[in-house]
Amino acid sequence: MDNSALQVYKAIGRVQNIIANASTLDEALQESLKAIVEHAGADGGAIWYADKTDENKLRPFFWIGPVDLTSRSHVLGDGSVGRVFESQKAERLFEFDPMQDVETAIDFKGMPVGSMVCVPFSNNVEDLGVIQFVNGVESGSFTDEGADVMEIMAMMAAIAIEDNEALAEPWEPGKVVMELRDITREFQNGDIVTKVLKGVNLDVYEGEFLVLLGESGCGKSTLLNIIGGMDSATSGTFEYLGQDLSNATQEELTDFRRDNIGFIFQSYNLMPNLTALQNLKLIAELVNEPMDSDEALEIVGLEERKKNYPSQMSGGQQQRVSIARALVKNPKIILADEPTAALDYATSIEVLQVLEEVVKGGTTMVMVTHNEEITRMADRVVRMRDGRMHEVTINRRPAHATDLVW
Amino acid sequence: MKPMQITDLLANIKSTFVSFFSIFMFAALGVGVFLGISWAGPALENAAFGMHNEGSFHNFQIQFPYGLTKDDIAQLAETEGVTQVEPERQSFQTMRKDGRKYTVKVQSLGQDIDVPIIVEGELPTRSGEIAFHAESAKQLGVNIGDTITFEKDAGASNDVLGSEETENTSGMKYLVRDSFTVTAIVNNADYVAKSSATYGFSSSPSGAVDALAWVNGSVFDASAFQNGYPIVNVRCDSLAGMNSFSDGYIQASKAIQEPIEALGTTLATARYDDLHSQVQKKIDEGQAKLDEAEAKIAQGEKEIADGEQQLIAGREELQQKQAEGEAKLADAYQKLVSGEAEYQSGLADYDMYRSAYNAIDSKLAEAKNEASEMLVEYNQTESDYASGKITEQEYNKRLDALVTKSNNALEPAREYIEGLPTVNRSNLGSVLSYASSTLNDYRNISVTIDGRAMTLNEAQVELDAAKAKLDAAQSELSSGWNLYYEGQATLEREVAQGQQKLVDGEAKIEDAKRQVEDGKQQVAANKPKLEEAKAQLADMAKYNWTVMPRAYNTGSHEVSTFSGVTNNLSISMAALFIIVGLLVSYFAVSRIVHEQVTQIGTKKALGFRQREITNGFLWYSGIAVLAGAIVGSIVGFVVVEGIIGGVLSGMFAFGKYPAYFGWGLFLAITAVELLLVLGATYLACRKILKEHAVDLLRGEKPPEGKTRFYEKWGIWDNLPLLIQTIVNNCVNDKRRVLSTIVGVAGCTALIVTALTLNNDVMKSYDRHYENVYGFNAIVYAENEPEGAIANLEAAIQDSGCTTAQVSMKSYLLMQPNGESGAVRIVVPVDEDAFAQLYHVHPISGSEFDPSGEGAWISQAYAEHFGAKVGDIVTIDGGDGMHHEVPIVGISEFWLTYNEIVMGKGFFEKEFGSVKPNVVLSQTGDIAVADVQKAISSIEGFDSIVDDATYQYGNFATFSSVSSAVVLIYIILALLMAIVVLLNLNVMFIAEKKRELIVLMINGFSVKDARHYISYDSIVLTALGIIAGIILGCIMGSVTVMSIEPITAVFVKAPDAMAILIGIVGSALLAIVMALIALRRINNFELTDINRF
Repeated sequence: MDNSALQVYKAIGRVQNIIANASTLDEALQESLKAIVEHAGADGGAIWYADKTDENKLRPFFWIGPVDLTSRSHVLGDGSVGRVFESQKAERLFEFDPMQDVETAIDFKGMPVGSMVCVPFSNNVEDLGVIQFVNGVESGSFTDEGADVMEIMAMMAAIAIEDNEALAEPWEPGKVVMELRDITREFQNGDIVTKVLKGVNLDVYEGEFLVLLGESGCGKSTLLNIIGGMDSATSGTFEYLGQDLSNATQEELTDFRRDNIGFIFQSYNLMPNLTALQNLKLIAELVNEPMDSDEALEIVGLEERKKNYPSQMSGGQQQRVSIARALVKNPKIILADEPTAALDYATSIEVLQVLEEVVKGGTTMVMVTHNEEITRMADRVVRMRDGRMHEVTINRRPAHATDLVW
Repeated sequence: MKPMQITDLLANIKSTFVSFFSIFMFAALGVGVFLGISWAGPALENAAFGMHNEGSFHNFQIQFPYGLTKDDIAQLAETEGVTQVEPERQSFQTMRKDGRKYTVKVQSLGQDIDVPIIVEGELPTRSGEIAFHAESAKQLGVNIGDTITFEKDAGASNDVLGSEETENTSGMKYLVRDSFTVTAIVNNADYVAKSSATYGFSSSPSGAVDALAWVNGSVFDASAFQNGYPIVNVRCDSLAGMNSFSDGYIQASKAIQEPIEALGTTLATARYDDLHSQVQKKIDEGQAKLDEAEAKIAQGEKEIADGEQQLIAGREELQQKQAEGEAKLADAYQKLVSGEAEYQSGLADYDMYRSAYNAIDSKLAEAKNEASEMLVEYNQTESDYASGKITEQEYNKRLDALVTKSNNALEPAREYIEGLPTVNRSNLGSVLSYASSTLNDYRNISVTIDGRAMTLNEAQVELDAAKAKLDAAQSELSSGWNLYYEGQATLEREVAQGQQKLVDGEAKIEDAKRQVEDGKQQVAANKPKLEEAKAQLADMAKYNWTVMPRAYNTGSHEVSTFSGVTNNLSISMAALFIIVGLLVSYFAVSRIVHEQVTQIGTKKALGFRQREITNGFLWYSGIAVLAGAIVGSIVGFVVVEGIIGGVLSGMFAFGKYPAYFGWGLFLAITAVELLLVLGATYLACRKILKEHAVDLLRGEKPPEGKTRFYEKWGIWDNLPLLIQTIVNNCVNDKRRVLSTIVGVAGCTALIVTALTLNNDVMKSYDRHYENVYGFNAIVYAENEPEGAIANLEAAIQDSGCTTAQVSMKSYLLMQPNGESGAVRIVVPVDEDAFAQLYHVHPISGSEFDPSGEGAWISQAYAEHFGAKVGDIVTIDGGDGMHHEVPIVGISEFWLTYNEIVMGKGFFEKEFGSVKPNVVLSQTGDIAVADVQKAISSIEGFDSIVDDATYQYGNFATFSSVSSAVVLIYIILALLMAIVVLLNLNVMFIAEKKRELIVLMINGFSVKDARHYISYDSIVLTALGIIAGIILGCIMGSVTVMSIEPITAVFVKAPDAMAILIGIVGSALLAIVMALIALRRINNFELTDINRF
């Protein structure tokens, strides 16, 4: 047996393992796609589900690559994905022509497509969707051998889906409140220029709980700083509700933060000389229609500690005050940077419960965390790697905070 | 320390350089200010000592009112320790320059001692040359080549015996000439201070010495000095090279002074005895002369009486002779007049007869001629008719006319020719012939003259005889008149001669009377003098030599005073900086320790001992202090000394003012500063270093939040969040609160202290002229002529001024410290007028009572010597007696000398009669110069002093020193603001960076963040300013007290302007420093939130 065949078998075996060990269907599919993309050496990939509420459309569920497909959809017959779903036949576009497949080109505009393979997947009952593999222009074309493996593996993944295992309702994102395109951020230290963000394309939707996940140094906090108007991108565009803030002045960014953003920090960052209530009032005074500070404390369950100073409260209580402080402005978006990192498990769950309630209340939440378990609570999870969005998962069945275990 | 520990220390210094610099800076400021101001004193003393050496300044000056004789001086030269002796004479002369009168102290030129230091020109070598003191020359506008003419003597230093009032050829009493040419402008070590107040006192009415000059010794009239030398200067080789102000010098000087004083006791007595006998002899001689004069006067009066008697007799004789002569003349005159009448009568008769004669003669002569002519005409007519030359008609006509004419012509003759018929045609010819022949001899025709019939010839004879008689009578009369007039003239001449003799006699008597009167006056004038001389001799005091070491020299005393002032200032200033420096060091090290708590924990965990870590911090502070002390000493040496020296050198006549550096003081203050800062450092790090490594490794504990008592008050919740935030920030950050308050307070205190010092000094002047002196000018009057002061006062009042006559004179006040100082005694003459211009405000004791038995003494004396009401002050009356005067009141007085007010009655009882010599004047809006113009020509006017301006100058001198200190204080306030406030602000912002970034992330703009952080600072600055004002007022008072001379007290009250400027200045500095620090917020990176 030649080496390549051995590799194919190994890959297929790996997919089998993933499917066998996955605790959820979503996990099985995501991990399988990762394995396939990795094996095929593809730059990206996406799983498109047929929308149960609108059978003419395919919506993304999970994808790998520096693009945000969240709000994308394909109509049957349109583009390679639409055509493949409709025909249930794989397509191999080794030399991708953007003009021939404009829809796909638009999807992956953050990564110009050079080569593409689309494979239909279905279980025994119905056609489920399409798995799409993409290579960037710089990565070269897929090969037939590679495409074969992709098809086999996709087929195996589809087979793994049991008949009675119905896919959840597709997640319908709200309107886009933030739009980041080709965001880069470089830091210069002497002669050395460090590129922390290398081209991020991300939308933030109203009311969603978005988690940014990644290793240290992947750029997630930098991205959060830019989203929060604390930092400006070196290049790219950043729009908030259609307002371009890419080149906003510090005053404009201050107004943006003041009126729209609430912050929750890992180390709480409460004013040590102010009581819980005073901490809230201090921030409430910044906006015209703040939430009542007492009410905000009540939301986080600390109305009885309102006269306590930070040093008189536990870490969890301080973080809840911090959440209340973020809430008191009635912000459009709350940005939370590792809000539970400094807390023990039980306290973290308490805090996450509060955040869960906040999101339920309709506030958009963008959270940076190292904790994989917390991603289960999110509507979307963006994994960052090396300054780019590596993969995006739409969590169609977000867990409750109380369900999380780590 | 081990090598890597040194490296660690250096790295620590580098990373916390601001804190290191704070400690360094305060060490530098403390040391620099202390040393700079402290060294200003020794520098001043060194400069003075330099001048002492340059001018061969005497080690001792012996003053003896009776003067040392040459023998005395020779004995003095032999005294142990004495190397060189040189006598000196001096007198006070008056000169005018640009219309103003000046009192000049003229001294004999020192050859080896007190040798003038030439500034310009050459020292006098001839008697007509004079050297002028540089400052005096500047004040009077005297230049080399000018001719100086002295108007009169104003006394001499030995004028205690009332030397003989014989003027020499110059018209001066003490100098043999009055005119000099200025050949040199000089300084003299005897007068190191420029102020004329250090020139001594003169015997002029004002007592002031305006200028100094030196002439050759030969210019002084030795006889005016009883051939003695009232001043003798002494030099001692053993004292050479020793600083005049050093303790060593003072000790060594005392050792020599004692034998000199012992010698003085012996020689002074001998001199006294000698002078006493000399004066006694002169008095005896004077008495003899007086007696002789009185005898002469008696003789003269007798002779005058005789002369007057003779004069009366002569006057009577003359009157008799004149009467007799006049009677004779009258008789003669009568006779002459009678003769004259007779003569005139005869002459009239003669003239009448002559006239009658002449008339007849004339008539007849004329008739004769007419008759002859008409006869001729008749004959002619007859002839003509006859010859037919004329017609008959013509003939008749002519005859008729001739008839008429002939009748008219013959009419006068008809009176004297009897029978002469009337002419008609018929008798024309005959009548005419007859008439013609008769009238040819008409002089023999008898005519009637005055009833007498006679011929004209006879009448003529008679007339000629009468004429001769008349001429003889006339001649007789003329002779008689001549005799008469001659007699009359003789009589008049004899009377005039008699009268002249009488006048001459009277003149002689008057002259004799005058001489007698003069004699009497001289006797009357000399009698009291003699009595006075007798009294003086009776009271002739036994003076001792006054042996004055250098310290007694007024200039040297001035140096010591200012040296003391700088020394006192340095201590109060250094105290402030050392206190603030200690706090700064404590807080700086405390902050470093807190910042490095994890590092300290790590070190402890790694095995470092507490001592080793402590040593690191001690080295840290120690290096900062040592570096600061070195830099501070240089700053003090160069800058502070320079500033103070600049001011002081303007007050003294030093040519050079080298800065002083003293190792001893430098090492001492460095050691003190080092010990204090090391102590503060140890205290700052002790607590944390005691904690366990594991606790330290957890990092700095956040501020401990706890519910404060005030938060339980109902009002708390109603307070605005801003106030709650400020209060909590302040309560929870005591370190910053204290350090900020200390920093601002220090800064404010410096400004307030400096300005209080400056303003209080000047305020003393203002207060004095508001509360005490109601006059601004003092007019000095001469003793003569009598009543001059009243005329002067009237003239001053006419100028529109308010006045009061007083007696104002300086005396010596015996101080409890064993020294004596000048005191001015003021005695009112007109109490009401005095009360208007001089307000005696007792601080303690009774209200001023002109009939009170005692003295109201100025407060400075009471304050500096602890005198109180009921105590006794001893005053040298200048009459050889000490008067013990009880203090009945201590009165408000702010000027720089002691003054005593006494009632007239008490003064007369103690000191003798009161002679007003001064008119206190309030000129109001009128310029003093205008008043001077109005009164300068009035007899008895001596001088007018614009006292308010003069005193202002004195205060300005003090103020100039304090102004230098103000400058230094303001610079220091600025430095303190930079070092403390800027540092604190920067540190505070750094500490608050995290909070600020959080707030900015939450929407605070940079402006909001600035405001947020500024509110605390504003409150703390306000608290600091309040504390600084209190501290500044206290320090201001202490500092004012420290520069008070012993003769003065200055106002030591908080100064509103100083406080206001302190508030504004500190607030401005705080604002500027805050603004500079707040600029850092602009540069905050919000993303730094991820680093906390």
